[in-house]
Amino acid sequence: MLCQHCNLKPAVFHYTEVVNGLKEETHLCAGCFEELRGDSESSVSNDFGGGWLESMLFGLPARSRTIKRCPACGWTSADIVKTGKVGCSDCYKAFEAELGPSLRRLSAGEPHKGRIPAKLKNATAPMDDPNRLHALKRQLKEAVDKEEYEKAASLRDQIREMEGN
Amino acid sequence: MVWYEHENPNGSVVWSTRIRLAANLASSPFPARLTSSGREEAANKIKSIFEGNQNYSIMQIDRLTPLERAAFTEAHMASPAFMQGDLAGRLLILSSDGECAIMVNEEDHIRLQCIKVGYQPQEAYKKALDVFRFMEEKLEFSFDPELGYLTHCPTNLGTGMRASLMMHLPSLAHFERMPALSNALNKAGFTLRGLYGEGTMPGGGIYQLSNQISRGFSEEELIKRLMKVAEQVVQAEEEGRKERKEKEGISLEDRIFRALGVLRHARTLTSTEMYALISDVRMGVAMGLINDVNMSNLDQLLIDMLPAKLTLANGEADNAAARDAIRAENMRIALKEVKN
Repeated sequence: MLCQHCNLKPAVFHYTEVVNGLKEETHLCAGCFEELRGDSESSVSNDFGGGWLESMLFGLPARSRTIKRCPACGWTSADIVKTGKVGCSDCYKAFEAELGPSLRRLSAGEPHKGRIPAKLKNATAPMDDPNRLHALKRQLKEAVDKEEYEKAASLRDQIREMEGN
Repeated sequence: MVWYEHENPNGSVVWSTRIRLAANLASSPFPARLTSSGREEAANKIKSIFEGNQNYSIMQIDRLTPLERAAFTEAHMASPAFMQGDLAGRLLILSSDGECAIMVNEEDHIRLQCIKVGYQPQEAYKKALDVFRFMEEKLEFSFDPELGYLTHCPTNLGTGMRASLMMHLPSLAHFERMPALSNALNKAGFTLRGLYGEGTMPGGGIYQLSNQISRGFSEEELIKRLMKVAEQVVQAEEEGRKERKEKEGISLEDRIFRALGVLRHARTLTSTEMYALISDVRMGVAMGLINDVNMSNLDQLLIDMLPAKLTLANGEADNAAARDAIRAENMRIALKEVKN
Protein backbone atom coordinates (compact mmCIF):
# COMPACT_ATOMS: atom_id res chain seq x y z
CA MET A 1 0.00 0.00 0.00
CA LEU A 2 1.32 3.43 -0.92
CA CYS A 3 1.43 6.42 1.41
CA GLN A 4 -1.75 8.49 1.12
CA HIS A 5 0.18 11.72 1.40
CA CYS A 6 3.03 11.40 -1.11
CA ASN A 7 1.80 8.39 -3.12
CA LEU A 8 5.43 7.45 -3.62
CA LYS A 9 6.65 5.34 -0.75
CA PRO A 10 5.11 2.32 0.96
CA ALA A 11 2.92 3.18 3.94
CA VAL A 12 4.34 1.94 7.23
CA PHE A 13 2.09 3.78 9.69
CA HIS A 14 -1.53 2.71 9.65
CA TYR A 15 -4.14 3.95 12.04
CA THR A 16 -7.86 4.12 12.39
CA GLU A 17 -9.72 6.90 14.12
CA VAL A 18 -13.40 7.19 14.85
CA VAL A 19 -14.56 10.77 14.56
CA ASN A 20 -18.23 11.43 15.26
CA GLY A 21 -19.04 7.81 14.58
CA LEU A 22 -17.23 7.79 11.21
CA LYS A 23 -14.24 5.54 10.75
CA GLU A 24 -11.20 7.18 9.17
CA GLU A 25 -8.22 5.17 8.04
CA THR A 26 -4.82 6.76 7.55
CA HIS A 27 -1.81 5.16 5.86
CA LEU A 28 1.47 7.05 5.76
CA CYS A 29 5.13 6.44 4.96
CA ALA A 30 7.68 7.22 7.67
CA GLY A 31 8.72 10.51 6.04
CA CYS A 32 5.21 11.92 5.68
CA PHE A 33 4.28 10.69 9.12
CA GLU A 34 7.19 12.68 10.60
CA GLU A 35 6.35 15.71 8.50
CA LEU A 36 2.64 15.72 9.29
CA ARG A 37 3.14 15.49 12.98
CA GLY A 38 5.52 18.48 12.93
CA ASP A 39 8.60 16.73 14.14
CA SER A 40 11.76 18.03 15.72
CA GLU A 41 15.28 16.64 15.79
CA SER A 42 14.88 15.36 19.28
CA SER A 43 11.96 13.06 18.76
CA VAL A 44 13.07 9.50 18.36
CA SER A 45 10.02 7.63 17.18
CA ASN A 46 12.05 6.09 14.37
CA ASP A 47 14.58 4.85 16.84
CA PHE A 48 11.97 2.33 17.81
CA GLY A 49 11.12 1.56 14.23
CA GLY A 50 7.88 3.32 15.11
CA GLY A 51 7.30 0.42 17.48
CA TRP A 52 6.18 2.17 20.60
CA LEU A 53 4.15 4.70 18.69
CA GLU A 54 2.52 2.10 16.53
CA SER A 55 1.58 0.16 19.62
CA MET A 56 0.11 3.34 21.01
CA LEU A 57 -1.83 4.00 17.83
CA PHE A 58 -3.12 0.47 17.71
CA GLY A 59 -3.35 0.04 21.41
CA LEU A 60 -5.74 2.89 22.10
CA PRO A 61 -9.37 1.89 21.69
CA ALA A 62 -11.01 4.34 19.29
CA ARG A 63 -13.65 5.48 21.74
CA SER A 64 -11.16 6.37 24.46
CA ARG A 65 -9.15 8.41 22.00
CA THR A 66 -11.87 10.82 21.07
CA ILE A 67 -13.03 12.04 24.47
CA LYS A 68 -10.36 12.17 27.11
CA ARG A 69 -8.70 15.47 28.03
CA CYS A 70 -5.92 16.34 30.49
CA PRO A 71 -7.51 18.47 33.23
CA ALA A 72 -4.32 20.52 33.65
CA CYS A 73 -3.37 21.48 30.08
CA GLY A 74 -6.30 20.41 27.88
CA TRP A 75 -4.21 18.01 25.75
CA THR A 76 -6.42 15.18 24.42
CA SER A 77 -5.79 11.51 23.77
CA ALA A 78 -6.23 12.34 20.08
CA ASP A 79 -3.39 14.87 20.41
CA ILE A 80 -1.19 12.14 21.85
CA VAL A 81 -2.02 9.81 18.98
CA LYS A 82 -1.35 12.57 16.46
CA THR A 83 1.94 13.83 17.91
CA GLY A 84 3.21 10.90 19.96
CA LYS A 85 3.81 13.39 22.75
CA VAL A 86 2.11 14.70 25.87
CA GLY A 87 1.23 18.28 26.79
CA CYS A 88 2.38 18.57 30.38
CA SER A 89 3.62 16.55 33.35
CA ASP A 90 0.05 15.93 34.52
CA CYS A 91 -0.80 14.22 31.20
CA TYR A 92 1.16 11.20 32.40
CA LYS A 93 -1.33 10.79 35.25
CA ALA A 94 -4.39 11.77 33.21
CA PHE A 95 -3.59 9.24 30.47
CA GLU A 96 -2.03 6.62 32.70
CA ALA A 97 -4.35 3.87 31.45
CA GLU A 98 -3.79 4.68 27.77
CA LEU A 99 -0.05 5.28 27.95
CA GLY A 100 0.77 2.61 30.53
CA PRO A 101 1.42 -0.37 28.23
CA SER A 102 3.57 1.67 25.82
CA LEU A 103 5.53 3.27 28.64
CA ARG A 104 6.22 -0.10 30.21
CA ARG A 105 7.43 -1.41 26.87
CA LEU A 106 9.73 1.56 26.46
CA SER A 107 11.62 0.59 29.60
CA ALA A 108 11.07 -3.18 29.43
CA GLY A 109 8.79 -2.93 32.44
CA GLU A 110 11.45 -1.38 34.63
CA PRO A 111 10.86 1.77 36.69
CA HIS A 112 13.22 4.74 36.54
CA LYS A 113 16.62 3.85 37.95
CA GLY A 114 18.72 6.89 37.18
CA ARG A 115 19.48 10.06 39.07
CA ILE A 116 16.77 11.72 41.13
CA PRO A 117 16.50 15.40 42.06
CA ALA A 118 19.02 16.21 44.79
CA LYS A 119 16.30 17.94 46.79
CA LEU A 120 14.17 14.80 46.79
CA LYS A 121 17.13 12.71 47.81
CA ASN A 122 17.84 14.95 50.77
CA ALA A 123 14.27 15.55 51.87
CA THR A 124 13.09 11.98 52.18
CA ALA A 125 14.92 8.76 52.50
CA PRO A 126 13.87 6.74 49.45
CA MET A 127 12.47 4.03 51.69
CA ASP A 128 9.88 6.39 53.17
CA ASP A 129 8.77 7.86 49.89
CA PRO A 130 5.02 7.23 49.40
CA ASN A 131 5.45 7.45 45.61
CA ARG A 132 8.04 4.73 45.75
CA LEU A 133 5.66 2.52 47.72
CA HIS A 134 2.93 3.18 45.19
CA ALA A 135 5.30 2.29 42.34
CA LEU A 136 6.39 -0.92 44.02
CA LYS A 137 2.78 -1.99 44.56
CA ARG A 138 2.01 -1.41 40.92
CA GLN A 139 5.03 -3.41 39.85
CA LEU A 140 3.99 -6.21 42.21
CA LYS A 141 0.59 -6.38 40.59
CA GLU A 142 2.18 -6.49 37.15
CA ALA A 143 4.63 -9.20 38.18
CA VAL A 144 1.78 -11.33 39.54
CA ASP A 145 -0.24 -10.75 36.37
CA LYS A 146 2.70 -11.86 34.27
CA GLU A 147 3.31 -14.81 36.61
CA GLU A 148 6.83 -13.58 37.37
CA TYR A 149 6.74 -14.97 40.86
CA GLU A 150 10.40 -14.58 41.72
CA LYS A 151 10.25 -10.88 40.93
CA ALA A 152 6.92 -10.61 42.78
CA ALA A 153 8.39 -12.16 45.93
CA SER A 154 11.25 -9.68 45.96
CA LEU A 155 8.85 -6.77 45.44
CA ARG A 156 6.58 -8.06 48.20
CA ASP A 157 9.54 -8.15 50.59
CA GLN A 158 10.49 -4.57 49.69
CA ILE A 159 6.90 -3.41 50.27
CA ARG A 160 6.73 -5.17 53.63
CA GLU A 161 9.96 -3.56 54.68
CA MET A 162 8.66 -0.11 53.72
CA GLU A 163 5.39 -0.63 55.50
CA GLY A 164 7.28 -1.80 58.56
CA ASN A 165 5.65 -5.24 58.74
CA MET B 1 36.15 28.74 22.11
CA VAL B 2 33.86 26.12 20.60
CA TRP B 3 33.81 22.44 21.51
CA TYR B 4 35.36 21.26 18.25
CA GLU B 5 38.37 23.55 18.66
CA HIS B 6 39.61 21.39 21.54
CA GLU B 7 42.26 18.80 20.65
CA ASN B 8 40.86 15.34 19.92
CA PRO B 9 42.56 13.00 22.42
CA ASN B 10 41.70 9.62 20.93
CA GLY B 11 39.23 9.82 18.11
CA SER B 12 40.47 8.09 15.00
CA VAL B 13 36.99 6.59 14.65
CA VAL B 14 34.95 8.56 17.19
CA TRP B 15 34.84 12.19 16.16
CA SER B 16 32.87 13.50 19.12
CA THR B 17 30.78 12.52 22.13
CA ARG B 18 27.56 14.21 23.13
CA ILE B 19 25.44 13.80 26.24
CA ARG B 20 21.99 15.34 26.21
CA LEU B 21 19.78 15.67 29.29
CA ALA B 22 16.14 16.78 28.99
CA ALA B 23 14.05 18.28 31.78
CA ASN B 24 11.02 20.47 32.32
CA LEU B 25 10.00 23.05 34.89
CA ALA B 26 7.55 21.57 37.37
CA SER B 27 5.34 24.63 37.32
CA SER B 28 4.58 24.90 33.62
CA PRO B 29 3.10 22.90 30.71
CA PHE B 30 5.63 21.81 28.09
CA PRO B 31 6.65 24.41 25.45
CA ALA B 32 4.28 23.01 22.79
CA ARG B 33 1.34 23.89 25.09
CA LEU B 34 2.55 27.40 25.89
CA THR B 35 1.88 30.70 24.16
CA SER B 36 4.82 32.95 23.29
CA SER B 37 4.45 34.80 26.58
CA GLY B 38 4.23 31.53 28.50
CA ARG B 39 7.46 30.39 26.90
CA GLU B 40 9.08 33.73 27.69
CA GLU B 41 8.04 33.39 31.31
CA ALA B 42 9.60 29.93 31.51
CA ALA B 43 12.71 31.20 29.73
CA ASN B 44 13.10 34.07 32.19
CA LYS B 45 13.05 31.67 35.12
CA ILE B 46 15.82 29.60 33.57
CA LYS B 47 17.75 32.63 32.38
CA SER B 48 17.74 34.23 35.83
CA ILE B 49 20.00 31.53 37.29
CA PHE B 50 22.69 32.16 34.66
CA GLU B 51 22.58 35.95 34.61
CA GLY B 52 25.75 37.58 35.87
CA ASN B 53 27.58 34.24 35.69
CA GLN B 54 30.74 34.80 33.64
CA ASN B 55 30.97 31.14 32.68
CA TYR B 56 27.87 31.38 30.51
CA SER B 57 26.54 33.55 27.75
CA ILE B 58 22.85 33.82 26.92
CA MET B 59 21.60 34.09 23.35
CA GLN B 60 18.07 35.14 22.51
CA ILE B 61 17.24 33.17 19.37
CA ASP B 62 14.77 35.66 17.87
CA ARG B 63 17.51 38.30 17.91
CA LEU B 64 19.95 36.19 15.87
CA THR B 65 20.20 36.52 12.10
CA PRO B 66 19.23 33.47 10.02
CA LEU B 67 22.94 32.95 9.28
CA GLU B 68 23.91 32.97 12.94
CA ARG B 69 21.13 30.52 13.70
CA ALA B 70 22.24 28.20 10.89
CA ALA B 71 25.83 28.35 12.14
CA PHE B 72 24.79 27.04 15.58
CA THR B 73 23.00 24.15 13.91
CA GLU B 74 26.01 23.39 11.72
CA ALA B 75 28.16 23.22 14.85
CA HIS B 76 25.69 20.76 16.45
CA MET B 77 25.01 23.18 19.27
CA ALA B 78 21.29 23.42 18.53
CA SER B 79 18.80 21.24 16.67
CA PRO B 80 17.47 22.38 13.28
CA ALA B 81 13.91 22.44 14.70
CA PHE B 82 15.00 24.81 17.49
CA MET B 83 15.98 27.43 14.91
CA GLN B 84 12.68 27.26 12.99
CA GLY B 85 9.07 28.25 13.65
CA ASP B 86 8.00 30.60 16.43
CA LEU B 87 11.29 31.62 18.04
CA ALA B 88 9.78 33.67 20.88
CA GLY B 89 11.02 32.57 24.29
CA ARG B 90 13.81 30.41 22.91
CA LEU B 91 17.28 30.83 24.39
CA LEU B 92 20.61 29.20 23.82
CA ILE B 93 22.83 29.30 26.88
CA LEU B 94 26.48 28.51 26.16
CA SER B 95 29.33 27.69 28.50
CA SER B 96 32.51 29.67 27.95
CA ASP B 97 34.54 26.57 26.98
CA GLY B 98 32.00 25.94 24.21
CA GLU B 99 31.34 22.40 25.42
CA CYS B 100 27.89 22.87 26.97
CA ALA B 101 24.83 24.34 25.31
CA ILE B 102 21.36 24.59 26.81
CA MET B 103 18.42 24.92 24.46
CA VAL B 104 15.61 26.59 26.37
CA ASN B 105 12.10 25.90 25.05
CA GLU B 106 12.98 23.35 22.42
CA GLU B 107 10.45 20.55 22.84
CA ASP B 108 11.33 20.46 26.53
CA HIS B 109 12.01 23.53 28.66
CA ILE B 110 15.57 22.37 29.04
CA ARG B 111 17.72 20.46 26.60
CA LEU B 112 21.22 20.48 28.00
CA GLN B 113 23.98 19.04 25.90
CA CYS B 114 27.67 18.64 26.53
CA ILE B 115 29.89 17.82 23.59
CA LYS B 116 33.49 16.70 23.76
CA VAL B 117 35.83 15.91 20.89
CA GLY B 118 36.86 12.29 20.57
CA TYR B 119 35.63 9.36 22.60
CA GLN B 120 34.84 10.72 26.08
CA PRO B 121 31.38 9.53 27.19
CA GLN B 122 32.08 9.46 30.91
CA GLU B 123 33.80 12.84 30.90
CA ALA B 124 30.96 14.38 28.89
CA TYR B 125 28.37 12.92 31.26
CA LYS B 126 30.19 14.22 34.31
CA LYS B 127 30.23 17.67 32.79
CA ALA B 128 26.55 17.53 31.85
CA LEU B 129 25.66 16.31 35.33
CA ASP B 130 27.50 19.23 36.96
CA VAL B 131 25.57 21.76 34.89
CA PHE B 132 22.31 19.87 35.48
CA ARG B 133 22.84 19.83 39.25
CA PHE B 134 23.67 23.53 39.18
CA MET B 135 20.30 24.21 37.51
CA GLU B 136 18.48 21.85 39.80
CA GLU B 137 19.67 23.69 42.90
CA LYS B 138 17.65 26.68 41.80
CA LEU B 139 14.87 25.25 39.65
CA GLU B 140 12.32 22.57 40.34
CA PHE B 141 11.99 19.99 37.56
CA SER B 142 9.05 17.67 36.84
CA PHE B 143 9.91 14.29 38.26
CA ASP B 144 8.05 11.09 39.06
CA PRO B 145 9.74 8.32 41.05
CA GLU B 146 8.57 5.65 38.65
CA LEU B 147 8.74 7.53 35.35
CA GLY B 148 11.78 9.65 36.17
CA TYR B 149 12.22 13.10 34.63
CA LEU B 150 9.03 13.95 32.76
CA THR B 151 9.42 14.97 29.13
CA HIS B 152 7.26 16.05 26.19
CA CYS B 153 8.06 12.85 24.31
CA PRO B 154 7.58 9.62 26.28
CA THR B 155 10.69 8.14 24.64
CA ASN B 156 12.83 10.52 26.70
CA LEU B 157 11.33 9.68 30.09
CA GLY B 158 13.49 8.42 32.91
CA THR B 159 16.99 9.80 32.73
CA GLY B 160 16.06 12.13 29.86
CA MET B 161 19.47 11.19 28.56
CA ARG B 162 20.60 10.59 25.04
CA ALA B 163 24.28 9.69 24.78
CA SER B 164 25.61 9.96 21.23
CA LEU B 165 28.86 9.28 19.49
CA MET B 166 29.67 10.78 16.11
CA MET B 167 31.57 8.03 14.40
CA HIS B 168 33.59 8.04 11.20
CA LEU B 169 32.75 4.73 9.55
CA PRO B 170 33.88 4.97 5.93
CA SER B 171 34.88 1.31 5.63
CA LEU B 172 31.63 -0.04 7.02
CA ALA B 173 29.82 2.24 4.59
CA HIS B 174 32.13 1.14 1.74
CA PHE B 175 31.33 -2.55 2.33
CA GLU B 176 27.63 -1.66 2.61
CA ARG B 177 27.51 -3.06 6.11
CA MET B 178 25.48 -0.19 7.56
CA PRO B 179 21.95 -1.65 7.11
CA ALA B 180 22.89 -4.92 8.85
CA LEU B 181 24.78 -3.06 11.56
CA SER B 182 21.94 -0.64 12.06
CA ASN B 183 19.50 -3.55 12.45
CA ALA B 184 21.68 -5.32 14.97
CA LEU B 185 22.14 -2.10 16.93
CA ASN B 186 18.40 -1.48 16.96
CA LYS B 187 17.86 -4.84 18.56
CA ALA B 188 20.38 -3.97 21.23
CA GLY B 189 18.54 -0.70 21.97
CA PHE B 190 20.75 1.67 19.99
CA THR B 191 20.26 3.67 16.86
CA LEU B 192 22.59 4.73 14.08
CA ARG B 193 21.66 7.69 11.94
CA GLY B 194 22.93 10.50 9.72
CA LEU B 195 25.12 13.34 10.85
CA TYR B 196 22.50 16.01 11.53
CA GLY B 197 19.98 13.81 13.27
CA GLU B 198 16.96 11.85 12.31
CA GLY B 199 16.32 11.32 8.64
CA THR B 200 19.41 13.17 7.42
CA MET B 201 21.80 11.54 4.99
CA PRO B 202 25.12 10.48 6.42
CA GLY B 203 27.80 12.83 5.17
CA GLY B 204 31.37 11.66 4.56
CA GLY B 205 30.83 8.37 6.36
CA ILE B 206 29.97 10.10 9.64
CA TYR B 207 27.20 8.49 11.66
CA GLN B 208 25.61 9.13 15.03
CA LEU B 209 25.28 6.20 17.44
CA SER B 210 22.96 6.75 20.41
CA ASN B 211 20.86 4.97 23.01
CA GLN B 212 17.14 4.52 22.27
CA ILE B 213 16.14 3.65 25.78
CA SER B 214 16.39 6.30 28.44
CA ARG B 215 14.46 4.68 31.28
CA GLY B 216 14.90 1.54 33.35
CA PHE B 217 18.69 1.92 33.49
CA SER B 218 20.85 4.39 35.35
CA GLU B 219 22.88 6.93 33.37
CA GLU B 220 26.07 5.04 34.20
CA GLU B 221 24.57 1.77 32.96
CA LEU B 222 23.34 3.40 29.76
CA ILE B 223 26.78 4.87 29.11
CA LYS B 224 28.52 1.59 29.83
CA ARG B 225 26.19 -0.17 27.40
CA LEU B 226 26.85 2.49 24.77
CA MET B 227 30.60 2.12 25.27
CA LYS B 228 30.42 -1.63 24.94
CA VAL B 229 28.52 -1.35 21.66
CA ALA B 230 30.72 1.50 20.41
CA GLU B 231 33.87 -0.50 20.99
CA GLN B 232 32.48 -3.27 18.82
CA VAL B 233 31.61 -0.79 16.08
CA VAL B 234 35.09 0.75 16.27
CA GLN B 235 36.63 -2.69 16.01
CA ALA B 236 34.47 -3.56 13.00
CA GLU B 237 35.48 -0.31 11.30
CA GLU B 238 39.15 -0.90 12.00
CA GLU B 239 38.93 -4.42 10.65
CA GLY B 240 37.16 -3.02 7.60
CA ARG B 241 40.06 -0.60 7.05
CA LYS B 242 42.57 -3.45 7.28
CA GLU B 243 40.50 -5.48 4.87
CA ARG B 244 40.47 -2.61 2.39
CA LYS B 245 44.21 -2.12 2.74
CA GLU B 246 44.80 -5.80 1.96
CA LYS B 247 42.30 -6.03 -0.87
CA GLU B 248 42.83 -2.68 -2.55
CA GLY B 249 46.52 -2.11 -1.83
CA ILE B 250 47.94 0.75 -3.84
CA SER B 251 44.58 1.77 -5.26
CA LEU B 252 43.35 2.64 -1.76
CA GLU B 253 46.50 4.69 -1.14
CA ASP B 254 46.01 6.33 -4.50
CA ARG B 255 42.43 7.27 -3.64
CA ILE B 256 43.47 8.73 -0.29
CA PHE B 257 46.36 10.78 -1.69
CA ARG B 258 44.27 11.96 -4.64
CA ALA B 259 41.70 13.25 -2.12
CA LEU B 260 44.48 15.08 -0.30
CA GLY B 261 45.75 16.44 -3.60
CA VAL B 262 42.34 17.83 -4.52
CA LEU B 263 41.90 19.42 -1.07
CA ARG B 264 45.35 21.00 -1.38
CA HIS B 265 44.97 22.31 -4.89
CA ALA B 266 41.31 22.67 -5.88
CA ARG B 267 40.02 26.13 -6.84
CA THR B 268 36.39 25.42 -5.96
CA LEU B 269 34.89 22.93 -3.50
CA THR B 270 31.26 22.28 -2.58
CA SER B 271 30.58 21.20 0.99
CA THR B 272 29.43 17.76 -0.18
CA GLU B 273 32.66 17.21 -2.10
CA MET B 274 34.67 18.52 0.84
CA TYR B 275 32.98 16.01 3.17
CA ALA B 276 33.74 13.10 0.85
CA LEU B 277 37.39 14.15 0.41
CA ILE B 278 38.00 14.87 4.09
CA SER B 279 36.52 11.47 4.86
CA ASP B 280 39.19 9.77 2.69
CA VAL B 281 42.01 11.92 4.04
CA ARG B 282 40.86 11.41 7.64
CA MET B 283 40.98 7.65 7.09
CA GLY B 284 44.45 8.04 5.57
CA VAL B 285 45.64 9.92 8.66
CA ALA B 286 44.10 7.30 10.98
CA MET B 287 45.74 4.48 9.01
CA GLY B 288 49.13 6.15 9.26
CA LEU B 289 49.41 6.73 5.52
CA ILE B 290 49.33 10.52 5.81
CA ASN B 291 51.49 12.02 8.51
CA ASP B 292 51.64 15.71 7.73
CA VAL B 293 47.96 16.43 8.42
CA ASN B 294 46.52 16.87 11.91
CA MET B 295 43.23 15.05 12.45
CA SER B 296 41.84 17.70 14.81
CA ASN B 297 42.41 20.30 12.09
CA LEU B 298 40.47 18.19 9.60
CA ASP B 299 37.60 17.80 12.05
CA GLN B 300 37.48 21.55 12.63
CA LEU B 301 37.37 22.19 8.89
CA LEU B 302 34.36 19.88 8.61
CA ILE B 303 32.38 22.48 10.55
CA ASP B 304 34.20 25.74 9.80
CA MET B 305 33.84 25.26 6.06
CA LEU B 306 30.06 24.71 6.14
CA PRO B 307 28.01 27.40 4.35
CA ALA B 308 26.72 29.48 7.27
CA LYS B 309 29.99 29.44 9.22
CA LEU B 310 31.93 30.33 6.09
CA THR B 311 29.64 33.21 5.18
CA LEU B 312 29.78 34.59 8.73
CA ALA B 313 33.57 34.48 8.65
CA ASN B 314 33.85 36.00 5.19
CA GLY B 315 31.26 38.50 3.99
CA GLU B 316 32.12 37.87 0.35
CA ALA B 317 30.90 34.29 0.58
CA ASP B 318 27.31 35.37 0.10
CA ASN B 319 26.53 33.05 -2.81
CA ALA B 320 27.26 29.40 -3.46
CA ALA B 321 29.87 29.97 -6.20
CA ALA B 322 31.81 32.49 -4.12
CA ARG B 323 31.60 30.20 -1.10
CA ASP B 324 32.97 27.24 -3.05
CA ALA B 325 35.95 29.32 -4.15
CA ILE B 326 36.60 30.68 -0.64
CA ARG B 327 36.21 27.18 0.82
CA ALA B 328 38.84 25.84 -1.61
CA GLU B 329 41.17 28.74 -0.79
CA ASN B 330 40.81 28.18 2.97
CA MET B 331 41.41 24.49 2.48
CA ARG B 332 44.62 25.15 0.54
CA ILE B 333 45.87 27.35 3.35
CA ALA B 334 44.81 24.96 6.13
CA LEU B 335 46.32 21.88 4.50
CA LYS B 336 49.45 23.47 3.12
CA GLU B 337 51.98 20.76 2.40
CA VAL B 338 54.75 20.47 4.96
CA LYS B 339 58.10 19.93 3.26
CA ASN B 340 60.19 17.30 5.02
